[in-house]
Amino acid sequence: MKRIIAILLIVITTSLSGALSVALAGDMTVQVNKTHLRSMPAYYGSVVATVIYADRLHVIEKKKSWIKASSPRNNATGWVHISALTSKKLAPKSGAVNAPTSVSTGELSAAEKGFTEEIERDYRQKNRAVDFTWVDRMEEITISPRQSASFLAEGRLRPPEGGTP
Amino acid sequence: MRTLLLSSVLALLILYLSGCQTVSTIANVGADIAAATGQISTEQAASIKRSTTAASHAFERFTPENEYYIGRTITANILTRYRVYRNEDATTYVNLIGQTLARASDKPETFKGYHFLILDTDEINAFAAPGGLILVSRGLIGCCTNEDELASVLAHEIAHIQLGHGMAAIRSGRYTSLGRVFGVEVAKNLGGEQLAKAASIFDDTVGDIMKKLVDRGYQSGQEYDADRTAITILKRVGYNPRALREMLRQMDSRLGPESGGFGTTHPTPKKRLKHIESALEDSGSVVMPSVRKIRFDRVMTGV
Repeated sequence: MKRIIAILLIVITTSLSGALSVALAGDMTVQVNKTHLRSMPAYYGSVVATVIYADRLHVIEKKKSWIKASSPRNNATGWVHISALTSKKLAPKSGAVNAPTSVSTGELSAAEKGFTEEIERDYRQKNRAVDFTWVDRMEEITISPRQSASFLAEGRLRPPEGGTP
Repeated sequence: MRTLLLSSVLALLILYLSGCQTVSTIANVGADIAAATGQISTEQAASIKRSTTAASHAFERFTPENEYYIGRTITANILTRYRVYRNEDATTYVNLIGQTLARASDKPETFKGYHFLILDTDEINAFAAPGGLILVSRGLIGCCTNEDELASVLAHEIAHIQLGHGMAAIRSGRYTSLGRVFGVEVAKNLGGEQLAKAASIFDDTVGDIMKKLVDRGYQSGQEYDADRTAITILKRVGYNPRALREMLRQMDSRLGPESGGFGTTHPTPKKRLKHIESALEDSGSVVMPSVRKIRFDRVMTGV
């Protein structure tokens, strides 16, 4: 039994580490609207640069769930939480600072072309009783870094570091 | 030791398989075998199966942007049923706690971040829409007597988003149907027929989640998983994980069989209390500084 477990472990860890090193050697893409590269692998790290949807980043290093990467677009290097990134290529939004792009639109997934602003616009036209006013307003609620820091310090809370599954 | 070793192997196997198409099936079989042979409890096996099912749904590759637009429409629909509680101090306070907790979760980054609003209703209820839009009722806030207990409510909702429970409610054929609408042809703007078809799939997708989120509730096991994940998130920032127990006890005393909201969609607080005990035993306790009670009272008294 122990031998089977040992063999299984070796096979899995070997292929896992292989997969990880491949992922680390490559580029990754920002899959959220906007996020920051930071000086440290934590949210209390100061902001080095802002990266946006579809920016390609060169991966340098990984520490828990944080990736150290460089952004050729704004010539900066810093740490970003892995949940902001995907290994897929994404097409920049038209009119965004990182458009136009050499990414082939043929690489886009169906979902990427799927539920977007255009679909919401169509939904709102057909469902006028559904009011998006407060949805837009709640998205505008932002907490400044200064507000957050004083809230944490006063409440004797630890600055969040971004979790690792 | 043997159990630990086997659990580790199983966990590694699941992690490894998470890149495979067959993740759900194989991991579920593995979990069943481990449970049947007594290596892990049936509850642990169920939790593994739920996680891998959610993960395999996530691998159907709805992007964070898709999640965002789905979540916006769900939130707009919920906000046609409930009024927003307009109290700027209370809303800011809930966002301060919520955004702190979100950044301590395993999914701190969503397409446009986490945002919180209070619903103006005595009903005990909360909703976490995919993408990070979270609504909490005055009635639920009424079950909290201090900041740590309010944090436990918000951490539970963030956990639903981290664990992908909303997106997992989408019927599995939706993504494939969406793929068929677009085919291989790439159009910058959708043609009339394409748009109509994609819009119809969007309606169905929103409907799938609304059914679970608003009407029927998630599976009980998903609620227990969200409670356990909430405990982890609370600990990471220094909130007292046992505040979840206190909040559930107060909810138990307030929630009647006719209450609606959590009374319809969630397992009873008593059942939830039973399921968090083991996680709380391991988590220790934190003495809450008085400032967290003082600032809660200052903002939330009268809400």
